Amino acid sequence: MYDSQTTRHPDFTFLDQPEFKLKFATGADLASMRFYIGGMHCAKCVHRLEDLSVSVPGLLSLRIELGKDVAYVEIDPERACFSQVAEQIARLGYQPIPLEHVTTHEEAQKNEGRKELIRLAVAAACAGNIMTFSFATYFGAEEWALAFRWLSFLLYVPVVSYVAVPFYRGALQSLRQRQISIDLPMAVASLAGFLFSTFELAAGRTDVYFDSLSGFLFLILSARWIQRRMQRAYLRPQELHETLQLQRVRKIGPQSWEWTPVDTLEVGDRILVYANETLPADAQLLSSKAYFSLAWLSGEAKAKTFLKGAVIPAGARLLAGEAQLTTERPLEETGFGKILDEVRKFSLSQNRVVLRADRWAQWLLALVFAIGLVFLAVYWHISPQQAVQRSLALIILACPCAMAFGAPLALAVSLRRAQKAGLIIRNANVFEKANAVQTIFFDKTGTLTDTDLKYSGNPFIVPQVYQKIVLSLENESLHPIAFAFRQCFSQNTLPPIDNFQETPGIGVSGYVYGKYYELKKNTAASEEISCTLFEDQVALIKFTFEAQAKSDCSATLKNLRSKGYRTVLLSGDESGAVARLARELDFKEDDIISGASPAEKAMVVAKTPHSMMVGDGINDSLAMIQADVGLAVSGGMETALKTADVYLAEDGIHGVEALLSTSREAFSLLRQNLYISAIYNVLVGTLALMGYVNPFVAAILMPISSGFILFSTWLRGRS
Amino acid sequence: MKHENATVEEIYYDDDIVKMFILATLLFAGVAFAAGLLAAFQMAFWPMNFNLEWITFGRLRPLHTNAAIFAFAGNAIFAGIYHSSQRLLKARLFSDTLSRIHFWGWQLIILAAAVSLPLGYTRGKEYAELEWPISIAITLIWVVFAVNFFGTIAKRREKHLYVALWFYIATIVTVAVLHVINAIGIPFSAMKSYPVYAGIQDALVQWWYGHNAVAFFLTTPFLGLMYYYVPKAADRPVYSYRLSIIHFWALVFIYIWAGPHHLLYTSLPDWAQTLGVVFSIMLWAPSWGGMINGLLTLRGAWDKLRTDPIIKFFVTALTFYGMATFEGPLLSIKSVSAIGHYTDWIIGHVHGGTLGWNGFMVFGIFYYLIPRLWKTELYSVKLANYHFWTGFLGVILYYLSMVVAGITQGMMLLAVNPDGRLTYPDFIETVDRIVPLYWMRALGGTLYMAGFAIMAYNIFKTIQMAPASAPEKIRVTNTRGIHQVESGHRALEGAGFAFTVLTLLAILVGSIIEIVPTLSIHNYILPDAHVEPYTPLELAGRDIYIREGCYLCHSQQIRALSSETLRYGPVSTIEESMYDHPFQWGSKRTGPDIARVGKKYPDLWHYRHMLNPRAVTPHSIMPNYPWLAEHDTDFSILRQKMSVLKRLSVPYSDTDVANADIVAQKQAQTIAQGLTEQGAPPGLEKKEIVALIAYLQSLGQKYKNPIGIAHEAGD
Amino acid sequence: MNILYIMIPVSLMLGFGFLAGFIWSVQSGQLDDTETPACRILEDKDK
Repeated sequence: MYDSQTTRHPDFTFLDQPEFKLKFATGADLASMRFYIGGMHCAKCVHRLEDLSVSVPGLLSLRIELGKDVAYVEIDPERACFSQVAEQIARLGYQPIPLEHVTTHEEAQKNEGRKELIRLAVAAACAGNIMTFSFATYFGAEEWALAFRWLSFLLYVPVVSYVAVPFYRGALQSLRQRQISIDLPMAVASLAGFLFSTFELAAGRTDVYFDSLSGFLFLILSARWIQRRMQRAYLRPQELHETLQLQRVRKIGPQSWEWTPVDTLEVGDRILVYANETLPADAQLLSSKAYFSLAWLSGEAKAKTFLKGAVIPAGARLLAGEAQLTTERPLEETGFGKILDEVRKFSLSQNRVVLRADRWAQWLLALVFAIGLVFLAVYWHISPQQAVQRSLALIILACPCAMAFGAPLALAVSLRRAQKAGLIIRNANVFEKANAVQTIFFDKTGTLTDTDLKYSGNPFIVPQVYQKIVLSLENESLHPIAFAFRQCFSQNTLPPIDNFQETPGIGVSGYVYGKYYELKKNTAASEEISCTLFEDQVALIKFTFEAQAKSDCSATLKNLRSKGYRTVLLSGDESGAVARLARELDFKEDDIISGASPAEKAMVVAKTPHSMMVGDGINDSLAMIQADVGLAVSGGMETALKTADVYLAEDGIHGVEALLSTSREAFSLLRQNLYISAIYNVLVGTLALMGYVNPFVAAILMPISSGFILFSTWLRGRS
Repeated sequence: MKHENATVEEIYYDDDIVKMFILATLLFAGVAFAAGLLAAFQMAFWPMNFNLEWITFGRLRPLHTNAAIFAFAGNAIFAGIYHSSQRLLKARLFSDTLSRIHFWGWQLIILAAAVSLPLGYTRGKEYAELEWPISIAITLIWVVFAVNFFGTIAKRREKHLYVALWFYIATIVTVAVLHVINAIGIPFSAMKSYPVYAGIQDALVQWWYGHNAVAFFLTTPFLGLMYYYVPKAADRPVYSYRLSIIHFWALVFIYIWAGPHHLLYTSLPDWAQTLGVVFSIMLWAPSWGGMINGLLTLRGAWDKLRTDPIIKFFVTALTFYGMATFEGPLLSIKSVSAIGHYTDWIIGHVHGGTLGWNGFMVFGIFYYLIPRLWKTELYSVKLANYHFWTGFLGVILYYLSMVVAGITQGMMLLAVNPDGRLTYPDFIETVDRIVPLYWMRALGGTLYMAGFAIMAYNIFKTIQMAPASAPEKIRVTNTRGIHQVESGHRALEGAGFAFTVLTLLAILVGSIIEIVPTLSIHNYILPDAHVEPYTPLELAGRDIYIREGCYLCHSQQIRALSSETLRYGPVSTIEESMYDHPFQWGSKRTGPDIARVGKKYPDLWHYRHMLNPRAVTPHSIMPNYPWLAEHDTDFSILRQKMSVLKRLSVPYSDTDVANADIVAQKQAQTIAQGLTEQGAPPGLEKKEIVALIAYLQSLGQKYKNPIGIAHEAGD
Repeated sequence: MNILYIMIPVSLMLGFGFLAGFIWSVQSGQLDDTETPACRILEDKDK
């Protein structure tokens, strides 16, 4: 999509700017900074980079974290500066990109993760030891049984008072919202089981459930932990390049330019933009000529030539050289800025979608609870102790295990499968939403097609001399057509051009070998992009270009349609180019929408229920927010990632199929686990109410049921 | 945080200490292997006991096991730990002084063992034979090691503790606890003591120690070393660092309870046995986690297997580790244990692990380390490859011969005819069958030894050709932000810490000495049962039994299997060994179980049997014990012994103690007279053989049921 | 078997000692990065 390598030596001086450091550096003296390191892939890379701390004076420490491609840099501010360090890193062949402070959100996540791990360890230690002693009793250690039971009680205290706390919290929260969540029966089981068992123990009886309770609490905590780990999909920080871009801009001062935070830019400020940088404001061009790409608007990397005085919208990207401009409108008032704002709001919002699985679970739980209470009331007259014991057994055994274990496990397995299929999923609820999708919207450029143009004729039949002329004329051009020419014509020597002229929107012209040549774009609203070579005002050759559809598009679209999905081509491009592609890919007439602005795209999607949006650019972000499921294709821009639910790591769109089939599988697995759980509940519930369940039976049944779920999930995971 | 001095520090690692430990390992490897080899030949060909009391099998075997575990594996572990820790922590060892105290102290301990064990000074507990002064020395040196190691961690410059270091930590902490608790005893002379535990208590503590000694001395440190040296040798990172962390913590939580699998079918209560089985089986998973991690680290470097002997050794070591940690849980299953326990299968299992896993790891590590430490190339890669193949063949021969021998003998001993009688009523029949396999094992051992000899030569030439080199300066940065101040008080700080630890240990020991005897009183005793303690002469005889290592070939625990009750008599009960400090249940039957041998044969039979076993059992492979008829029994020490035992709750009265020597001499008189009448030479009442006979005749006779009648053999 | 009065507390203390070690390692960030340490040990080229 864009190339992060600039032609000139990278300039890191902005890293030392005070305002920059305020935002990016940490520590009392702002001497620490995190960097994303691009290009790192192995152990040797780690060594080369970390060794810098020995060879670069003033660099106190450089620690790599491979899994995140991050480097933690600490300098001695009096002897070194960040730009030096960044230069050294770049000199080794890596691209360092500074990262903002660890946000409080990230910090909170890390602490939460640590607490989870500790809780899990305590659960494991207590459960393991409790089970040692209770198994000893089951194996026949009669003389020690009482001592072991008291020991189990002591070991259960940390479980009930610390390990089970998340369940208490979840249960209380759901009660406040008048819902039943899985946390509730587990909280009840944990507490009630504890109280009941302690009472039994104190009364000198043997119905003590510490082992099965601690065991299942541990199992469920670990299932959740596994699921959460799989779910922490991360944005590849290379995409954060863009965020950085829009943080600061070169403001031209009396002497030279200076880095300035974008939000301090005022109307009338002169700014300097280099190649591959994005314009952070609507600005008027001061330089004589500049080529910008308006990809954010249309999704195409089509270069537009702007002459001095033209007003260029924010979000445009300079394709080559440098440009000086005057600020006309600050970022937040521009169309581009407004889109960014929407994107930011969306990514910060906490979507709490209640899964259907949760709803089923709620019903089941409510039912079990009801039965338990009814039984308690009825049996109380016969024997209060039996009533309590049996209904407790029902609650301990029937509710939590299979289901609480089964759902997160099914999701974890599906997430892993999705990962293997090249899908990066940000929220596990996407499976359910994807299952309901009926219409799939596809963006054109960058999604269905490559962003490059390709000459659609046979280059070999174009005479050499004309190849040379065309190349010569387009020598300086950064228009995609020029790139297409350069791709298919290869000439070593180019003839010189006299009187070269370029007319924006029309074409280029010049004298070669004394003849007057023009290469003019055909503006007729035909289906193709084309230009014609004129020699002395006589048309010689017409060149047509197409954006190539990605290789798997045809097959994927066919499969999707055969499965009953409606596919719609939604493009910001003009109808001509869109029509040709639509025909090639067999889109129905009604399912082609061209010339749509980002807002229009969003509206179309919003009006369609059960929709999926597949796109790659900023112009698709709004639509993705509106869709039920947003899918960002590989190579897409950061904003697409922020708004998409799923990111395709592999090239092409076959990932769409993979997502839909994985979702189907996920759901099927979830349903399977719920069925097993339901059957198990019925069986075990009956046994419990009939009084056949004692601690030993509980200790056996619970791991068995969990094991069964694990096994069946694993079996399905393999197929 | 401001840094005053240079942020890059230049340090020197202490590699001299590593070199010292390496050389010690190689020296004692020779000793340990030679002792093992001699023992192997003694089993195949008894005359190689040479009638010499100091190297008979009974005294040689502890020398071999201690040399192999503490002198060979121990020194290797210290070499590896000191080398790898410094680099992992980016810090020189805490104190050079402590390092050297550690080294010389440990070698002195080994020498003490090498002298005391052949002389018969043994506690009679496997892998814990070294008597109390040496035991204390081990504790002290271990604390020195701990202080040195933890001190290095405290001053480290690399903040992350690599997983290998965690394995080392677990080793140091757990071995300390195990050693101290199992070694607690009360001395009755300068070189002799009795353990504070007896009978089943001792059995449990011994195998809680014994199995975890295997775990935390032969497994965890080696796993730690594996996690460092295999990646270094293959130049690729561990396959899954996360897996290594998980399996470390899992291992460390579970291992502790696997001990009872050494006591299946014994009089240990069933529930404890089952618990041991369950835990032993659970252990399989984390152990294989380690193996898989190690092997998969080499993925992408498998071609090195062809060319690099170091990789060959590592891969084979890991494979043997996997085998042993699968075989272990297998052997813990009760039905398998019924066949394998007491047989050579266990020996095979042990040596698959020690020769295959520990030995080959050490060889691989040394081939990697020695050229680097001495700044030279290995003298001959070809020789190293020869070593590998020779050694590998040796291990295979050893392992296969012993497994076959064990299963054969086990099955023969269990075999019962349809008419309900033993198929092989004579133990010696089973021995006859497996002696050829003993030869094969000796061959395997010879090959292993030959391989080692090749290595010794190779290393000798390598070091000989090494240039004189100065220590290498290392430039490191400190990622902990703590500036290292080279402190002259280092040794003092270390000493302070050491004192604290030692004090705590002393408190622990003291408490246990107080508590255990009181616990021993309330045992599983039937209300009217009566167990008689040993008479003074029997006690003297028992201590001779222990000294000669008889317990290494003869067990005293009849298991609850029908073939055993047919062969040996009623199943052993807990009460029968309740006064045995240390317990004599035994763990190997090279010869038959003797729990109920008392009054089964006349005294003369025992006399002739001890002097020349073949006189009463042709084909016996037991050594001669002629010196028992020449040495005098030490009657004078009996009073001390009995007063110590009295303190340990053996029900001797004060008069018993006071008259110990007189009573013993009287009983000796009676026995000697009887012997002379039956045809033995006169004047035996002063001789040790009479004491031993008294002891042997008491076996199985001490437990009188409520009616007062002892169990008769054949009941 | 009364020896269990000693063995069980000792084993539990060992076990919970290790648990404390685990908690320390989580809180001091030892387990935050479980990939790079494996590479880092290869850094010093012990030639």
